[in-house]
Amino acid sequence: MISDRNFIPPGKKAIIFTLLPVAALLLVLYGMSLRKDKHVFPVNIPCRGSMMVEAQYDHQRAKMVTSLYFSFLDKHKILVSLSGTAYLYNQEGKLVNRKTLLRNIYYDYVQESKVTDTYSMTSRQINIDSIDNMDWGISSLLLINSFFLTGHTDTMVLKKYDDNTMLIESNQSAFALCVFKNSF
Amino acid sequence: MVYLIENQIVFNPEENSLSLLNDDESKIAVSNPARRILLLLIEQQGVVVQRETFFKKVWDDYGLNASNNNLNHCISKLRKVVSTLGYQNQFIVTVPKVGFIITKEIIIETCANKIETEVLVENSDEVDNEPDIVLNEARPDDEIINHSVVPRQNASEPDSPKGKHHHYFMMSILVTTALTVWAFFIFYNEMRDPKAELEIAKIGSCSLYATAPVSQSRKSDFIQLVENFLHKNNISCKPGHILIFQSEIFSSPINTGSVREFLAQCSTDENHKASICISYYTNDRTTHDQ
Repeated sequence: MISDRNFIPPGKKAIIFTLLPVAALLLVLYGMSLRKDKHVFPVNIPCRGSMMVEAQYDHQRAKMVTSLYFSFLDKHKILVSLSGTAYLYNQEGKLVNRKTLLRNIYYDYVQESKVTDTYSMTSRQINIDSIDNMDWGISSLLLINSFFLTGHTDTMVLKKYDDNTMLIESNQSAFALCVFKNSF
Repeated sequence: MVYLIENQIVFNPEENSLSLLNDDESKIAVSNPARRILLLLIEQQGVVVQRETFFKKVWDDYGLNASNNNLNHCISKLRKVVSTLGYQNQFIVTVPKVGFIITKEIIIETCANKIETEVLVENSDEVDNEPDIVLNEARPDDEIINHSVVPRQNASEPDSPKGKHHHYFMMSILVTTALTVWAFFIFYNEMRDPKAELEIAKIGSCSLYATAPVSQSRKSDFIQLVENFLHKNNISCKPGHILIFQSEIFSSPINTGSVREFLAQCSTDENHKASICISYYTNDRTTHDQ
């Protein structure tokens, strides 16, 4: 004879209806934190890639094959590590010079614009390995100035291309794409 | 919950009414204090409910002024209603100087709501002219009305949390829905491939992407530049690889004496994310010199 209603007890109902928006809010906050982590530099793992650079002039052609290591360090510093070989060819396409590249460049950087991902990067220290024999002539054909001139500032655009890659660009053109990963 | 008293009188607290079983016409509305008094007595059946308890639970807890007069009046009216419905035995017993009791001998059952009957509102004009039995908590004279009326709900009625709860639940659902939709869009944006909108075409088995959006009308020019670059640099497309291309020719309509072109060829992992990339960068400075 007692009427049994199949509803949730009012007390529990109130708790459920309070917890629902709280849970949804937590979901939103979690999503926003993910988005923040995803888009904001600096990331805490290094970015690696391989580069083939070619500069063509009327009377000569230079080519460089190198691996690239790019890492955001503490205190607004960036480390770029290059290892590879540069080749110089004459007008006839004959190899006339071959140089080895192995150096670490430490940059101080300033993010000039978050909107355009523009950074000014000043090479504070270039640690050149003993086998690195790049001379000024071939360096000026194949490298940006801050790769071989200490204290030089280059303006770079560093932007995430997708979840795990970064495009490294000058204002004229992209020149490297690297992948964020701890190791190959 | 509905109560059946002595298998004869139906007490429906939700409707503030007492009526004969299976006789809608006999329905008599009672005031909120009277309804609360009867509920207390039923809940405590066989136990003397003290006057102070009535004062607190019937009036004080609802912000109303309690008094012996009001209590006596409500009891009197309840007795009168029960009597009107044909129950002639003693229903509510007075315990002098203590309170009131419904003795255990009286059979009171809780019933399913199915015996609740719809209240027919008749003589609506007349009802409108009657003093509002719910509003007039402090006017015991109006507390019992011998008409078949639905007790009116009132915004100031403090003991009807149903409406308040309804609003609360509605707000909760609305807020939850809005937040869930927001979260859905955040996760949707996070999960989708950020470079999807930069995809231009397929070249062989490779997906071709630009570094910036390319209009539909210029896509064929873009693809042509890529094919020239691939051919010139002897780059072949491998299954599962992606290509990302940019050319100064495409973005600059004039000859600046320097043609920079960039192409990245990346192998992808099982999650379609780039795993190893080779970047090709050429700077052709011969054009201007020739």
